[in-house]
Amino acid sequence: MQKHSSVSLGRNEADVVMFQERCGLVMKWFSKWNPEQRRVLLHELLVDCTTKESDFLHQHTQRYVPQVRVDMTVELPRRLSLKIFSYLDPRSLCRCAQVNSRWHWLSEANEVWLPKCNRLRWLLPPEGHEDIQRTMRWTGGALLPDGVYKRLYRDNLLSLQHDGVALMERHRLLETSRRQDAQVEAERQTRLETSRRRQLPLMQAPWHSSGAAPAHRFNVLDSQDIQRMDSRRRDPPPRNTMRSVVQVPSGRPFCSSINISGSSPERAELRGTTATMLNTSRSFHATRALFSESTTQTPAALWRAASAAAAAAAAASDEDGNDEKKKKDKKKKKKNDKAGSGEDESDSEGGDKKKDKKKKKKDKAGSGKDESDSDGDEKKKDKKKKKKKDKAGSGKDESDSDGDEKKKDKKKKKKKDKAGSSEDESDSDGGDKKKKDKKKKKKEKAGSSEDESDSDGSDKKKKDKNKKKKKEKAGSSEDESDSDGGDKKKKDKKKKKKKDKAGSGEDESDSGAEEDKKKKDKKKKKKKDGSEEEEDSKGEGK
Amino acid sequence: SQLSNQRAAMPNIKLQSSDNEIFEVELEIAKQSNTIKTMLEDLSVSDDSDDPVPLPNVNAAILKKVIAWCTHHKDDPPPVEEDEYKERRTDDIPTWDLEFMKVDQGTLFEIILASNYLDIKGLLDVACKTVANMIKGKSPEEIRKTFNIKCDFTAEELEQVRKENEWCEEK
Repeated sequence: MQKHSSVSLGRNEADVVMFQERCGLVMKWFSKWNPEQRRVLLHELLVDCTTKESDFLHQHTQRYVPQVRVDMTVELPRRLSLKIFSYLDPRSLCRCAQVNSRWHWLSEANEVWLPKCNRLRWLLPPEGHEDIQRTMRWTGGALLPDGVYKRLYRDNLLSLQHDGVALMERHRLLETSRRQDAQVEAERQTRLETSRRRQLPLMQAPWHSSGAAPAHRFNVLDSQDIQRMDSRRRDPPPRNTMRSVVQVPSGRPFCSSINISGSSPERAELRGTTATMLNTSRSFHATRALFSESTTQTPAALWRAASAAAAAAAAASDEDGNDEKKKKDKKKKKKNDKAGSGEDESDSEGGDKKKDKKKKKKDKAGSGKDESDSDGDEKKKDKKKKKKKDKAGSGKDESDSDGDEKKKDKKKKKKKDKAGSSEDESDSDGGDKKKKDKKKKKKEKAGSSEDESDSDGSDKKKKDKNKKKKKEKAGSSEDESDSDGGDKKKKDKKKKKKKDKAGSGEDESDSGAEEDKKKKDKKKKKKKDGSEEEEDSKGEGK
Repeated sequence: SQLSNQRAAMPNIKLQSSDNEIFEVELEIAKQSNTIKTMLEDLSVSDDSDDPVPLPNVNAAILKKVIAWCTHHKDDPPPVEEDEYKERRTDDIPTWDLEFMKVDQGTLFEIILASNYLDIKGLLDVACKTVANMIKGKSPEEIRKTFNIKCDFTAEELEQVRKENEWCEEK
């Protein structure tokens, strides 16, 4: 039967096709059988083979089946064996060490373990271990005994394991941190480049620049991870005889090695409440941003940045009105750094005007406050405004005595919002309010787009998120989302003010009016507000 | 052989294996070997010279393999200098190379030696990665089986070595 088909092979097109089909069928069966069944078939085939065929099989299998088993470490020079070993992970290397004495000797080689240690920045201490010292003396420091770096790696790893985290997980963490470091570094490089490129042609105020991305922007999560990893790297529990000396390599990013707010007390705070954690992270960002900025600038700017960093840190720990301070510091910094000092004078006048306008508006708002403070201290004004509004509102301030100033602030803001939009509630439900809020915010965006011309798309997204969060959580988690430094804070401030004003605007338009009208009013107001706010911020900067 | 029959527009070069078989290869392909490249540059061999380049350390079977690899990778970008800090991966071998490396261990090690001698970095890397993949994830006994290695440790030594390397095993 089989002979028939083989005889007819090649004679006839149809036969060829049929043979191919049958081959395919056999292969299909074969692939679906279990190993035992496959072995049975192979055996049957072998038994059925003629001598010629088994000859062919022998030659053929040599090519396809890795039959020859050789100890390559014997065949290859040491250097090449080590090259192969260099592709192995630590665990495989440890298993190789147990194969035989030659493999043991190869797998302990410093050439293999040194890169692994270096990658994790685990360096040998210059005068650490006795063995090392002795060998250094003998070899003039040129050669280290094999296994030194393996031991260094093991000791460091075990000291990490001491924390109670499984080995492989820790290893993975370190690897990811290394990758993140590289990423952050790359980002920083591109950022520096873009900022440098932008700063050269236009030494203007940041809100005039048309660059795609702001000069400094950090991802909170990333930096926190890095902070944590840095701390881990810097002080692994010194349990072993060969302590790891962690290098602060010159190639490392400047900002991450500064790490001002990463000092131990603050790090302890990290583990504390979310509020303090956010505080520290924010101040960390502030300092970081400012420092990364200041690296490209004059000593004067550096000093300013440093003082700002200090102020930010102080503000973080300060219980009272920290938000305002920070915002102001930021604004000042920005102005001082980027805008010429000449602008400030003209701004001050504008600022005064704005104040007047604001007062008028507030008077109009019918909250019945006579703001007679005409001194230049915007901070005080803001606070007073807020307080007054609170009082004008539901006046629940006294009832919530959390002690936590931040929370209070937030609540105040909330209340302001409520007070401002209380008229809304009288003629429209909560959903309407939300919609309005959204609209307001959109308008704000449009209004302040001049400021934001240097912010990119992702930035906007973030802002959107912030807004949403604010709406949903009604201030309870405001601070969580804004961690990007001055820009956002500024905007937050504006939003709040705008909300207030918008609320008061509704007062004017009287509670019985249609919603459409209100919207229009709001639009107008917001446009005004937008332009005013800008000037305002300048004035404050002064 | 097949390769010597190919006549391309490119200038060719003749390579002589240790068993005196001559292969005619495109110059650009042969120049993937830094050894051949420097040889040609240093000796300023003219392109039209018919003298084959002797490669006394590579036999015909392996040279054929090497030439096949170089032909497939002739359009590859030149290999970049590896960063010592960079983690070395073994799971990034292209499919063609994976197929190419499906040879017996003897051939594989000869390829390693040949690519080392001819200084073809890409081929050496792929070959070493292949061997590393044969080692990875195996127990010491499995490694011994894979490479037909005799364990020359005494029972005590073995126990000592096992304890020495215990730290790497998952608990």
